[in-house]
Amino acid sequence: MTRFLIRRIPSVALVLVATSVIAFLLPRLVPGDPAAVVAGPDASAETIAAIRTELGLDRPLVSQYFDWIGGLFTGDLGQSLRFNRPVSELIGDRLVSTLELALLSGVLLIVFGIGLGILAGSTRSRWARVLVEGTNTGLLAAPPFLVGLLLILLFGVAFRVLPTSGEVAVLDDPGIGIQYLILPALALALPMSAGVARLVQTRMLAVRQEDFIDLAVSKGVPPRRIDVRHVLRNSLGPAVVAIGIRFGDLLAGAVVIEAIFARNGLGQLAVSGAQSADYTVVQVLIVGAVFIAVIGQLLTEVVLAALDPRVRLG
Amino acid sequence: MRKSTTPRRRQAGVAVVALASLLAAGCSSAVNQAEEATASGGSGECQQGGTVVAANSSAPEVSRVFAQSATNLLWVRAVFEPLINVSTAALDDPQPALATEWEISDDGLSAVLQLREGVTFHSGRAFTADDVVFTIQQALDPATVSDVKAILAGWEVEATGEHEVTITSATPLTDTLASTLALTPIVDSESYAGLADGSQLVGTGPFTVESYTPGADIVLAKNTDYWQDGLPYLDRIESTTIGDSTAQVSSLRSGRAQLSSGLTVQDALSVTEGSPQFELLDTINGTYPIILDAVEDQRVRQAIGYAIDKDRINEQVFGGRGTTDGLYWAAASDTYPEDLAGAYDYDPEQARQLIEEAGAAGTEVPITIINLPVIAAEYEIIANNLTEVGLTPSLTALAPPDYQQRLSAGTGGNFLSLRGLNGSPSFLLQTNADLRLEGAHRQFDTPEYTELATAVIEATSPEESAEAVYELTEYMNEQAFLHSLVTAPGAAVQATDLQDVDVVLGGWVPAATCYTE
Repeated sequence: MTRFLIRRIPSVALVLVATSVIAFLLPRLVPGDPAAVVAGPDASAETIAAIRTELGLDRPLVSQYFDWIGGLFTGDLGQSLRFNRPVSELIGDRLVSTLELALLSGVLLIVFGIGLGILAGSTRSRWARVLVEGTNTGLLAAPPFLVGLLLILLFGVAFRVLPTSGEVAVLDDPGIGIQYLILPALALALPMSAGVARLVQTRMLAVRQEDFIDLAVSKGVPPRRIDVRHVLRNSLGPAVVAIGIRFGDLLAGAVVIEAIFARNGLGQLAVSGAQSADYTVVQVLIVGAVFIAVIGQLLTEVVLAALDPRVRLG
Repeated sequence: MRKSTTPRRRQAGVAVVALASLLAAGCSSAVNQAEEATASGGSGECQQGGTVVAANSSAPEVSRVFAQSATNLLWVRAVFEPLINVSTAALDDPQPALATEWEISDDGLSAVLQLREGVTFHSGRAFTADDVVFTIQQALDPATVSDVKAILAGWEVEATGEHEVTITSATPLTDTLASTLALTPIVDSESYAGLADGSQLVGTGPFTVESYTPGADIVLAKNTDYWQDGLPYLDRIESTTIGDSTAQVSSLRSGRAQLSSGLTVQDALSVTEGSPQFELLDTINGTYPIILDAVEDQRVRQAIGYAIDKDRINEQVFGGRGTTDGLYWAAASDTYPEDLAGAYDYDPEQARQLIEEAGAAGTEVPITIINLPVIAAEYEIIANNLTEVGLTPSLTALAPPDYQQRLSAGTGGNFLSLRGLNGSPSFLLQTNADLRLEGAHRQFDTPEYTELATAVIEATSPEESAEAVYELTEYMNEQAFLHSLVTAPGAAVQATDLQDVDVVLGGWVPAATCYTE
């Protein structure tokens, strides 16, 4: 595996360099001036010019880019144009919030996705299967924001049992923090888990038709053992790939869910950064998101190799 | 095998029930915790203590304390106090804050202010006249964002005593002093450098800054050394950012927030209508004009004024909370020319006639807007109205950074604007980007306008001022280079058990805000 990871370094580096150039240029190609936002609606052209100079936006683009890249290597992510604070500090303030949400959502995605998939793919009762498939189809059709709003109406307004707005860090107060996290994590994970469940179900049904399953049955292998050791294990490959891809979606979906549940995470930082042309924040978040996606893909390949002996890393 | 699975299932069932019970027990504590932080109330006397969670749609911007900014509406006057407070509902009735009294000379060109003694900054340092001088100097810095820089530029401020300040001005202070000082809160010279990034937010206000998370929230704690005895009532304010209007509604209904600003009018009405728990709160008055720089023919500009159904905009976009007098001036101002209001009441027939006279049927009217829901909704009605009278409107919707850049560059065009009505006509003519003589965002500029606007700015007596405003308004109505469509207060919601939620220029003054017993 080490050789596999080392071989991937050049391509990962190339992706990140290309991303950094795009992330740097893209926000600047969009019309608009961050100095005008900082200056406010009544500002004169003179005030805006003075602010632009103070923010360093009047320097050549190439110089701004290399200053930023140079800073990245020394751990300096730059300075927010809007808040005049280090970008690393802004991200640090929100990272825990988004990680908590992404991790719990990830766990729920795996539990519900694989759980529902196994139920749908293995249940013998017709009614049970209809129930599971119905649930699955309903979740597949419901986007996270809709699930979020329904959860708020149900558990926050009709029956006030869980908080629907704000957040408390789990590390600060695990008991309270987890309650603030449950509804947003469910809203994010449930719709995505339906896609994973459908993959697991379809694959399980297909694997059941394979010759080696008939062989195992004829050899008298107990049904539970066939389900777990043969059918399920051989059905998880596509689900693992889907979960790997969905992990990136979790971060993207967090933008909407954070807004609905009033959580101040990285998603909200990205949105406000884009709205106010806070280039320095947006460019770091873009590169960070691509970096996480690349790592996610590498991990997916490693897990796939562990699940399927035919897949070799190299 | 089967026998062994039953206990396992039982164990699993017990575990699930236990987990659910644990969650249920825990859940109530999270919800209860939020409710217990606020004091319950009814109608009665103010009680000491309690926390207010104030939700705002945009994040605090600490570098803009010298500006009237929606982003700072719910925290800045809790920390930074001005010399004078002015309410937009009573512009001509300024109230003492850090200045106890002030006197303007007969010619209006100088003013002497007596400052409050016994006031200290949150650092413990005493407030003196030197702090006023320092504050004005900082507001004038080219890179400082200040709404009143144009007026301050003509001032000389001198500390004529430890608690006395004398201001001399190039233009009369009669109609501008109060609003200008109301929008220039006093900052601390020792910690001013920390204001740029929010690392040090030190004022004289009733609350001190406990923590500040850029882009997210500001948590304020009671200033126990506040100069007003017995105030503030509240122990704590959490000013948090909730950008999404639906999420703001959810935070109110779930009991998390007691004050909410920046949600859509429709959401504000849905929360408050028929509710014993919430009521509407009027914040800062704003005017929503259309600027017609790209329509050369005066008759077509007038026709556009007649064509737009302002009452419909008021009803559909602002929930009927605004006024549609068609004048740019605040009705609360003493010099408000009431006779000239309603000059462009909705009259599509008159509009068609003027367009026909000008031979302008089918003329394209490009309109640039900032991409905000309120402005977009306003445009939809305007476009419909203009189409009805035979014009051809077209839309360019821009993101805020692009819109503000284009306007400040003075590139012209027709645009829908949003401005605060923070003072008298004289004040607006010097500070407002749609009206001012220098550095204006509009392009319409004639010697007559300059002369009439200058007469308003230089008026020293109330009579002179009223006459000058009347003449200028007549000219503006005739030229029709802009039409004020609706004047409406900002949409906010407060819990009914909160009392004395006073909003002045700059924002909410929470010193006297309390929960009732």
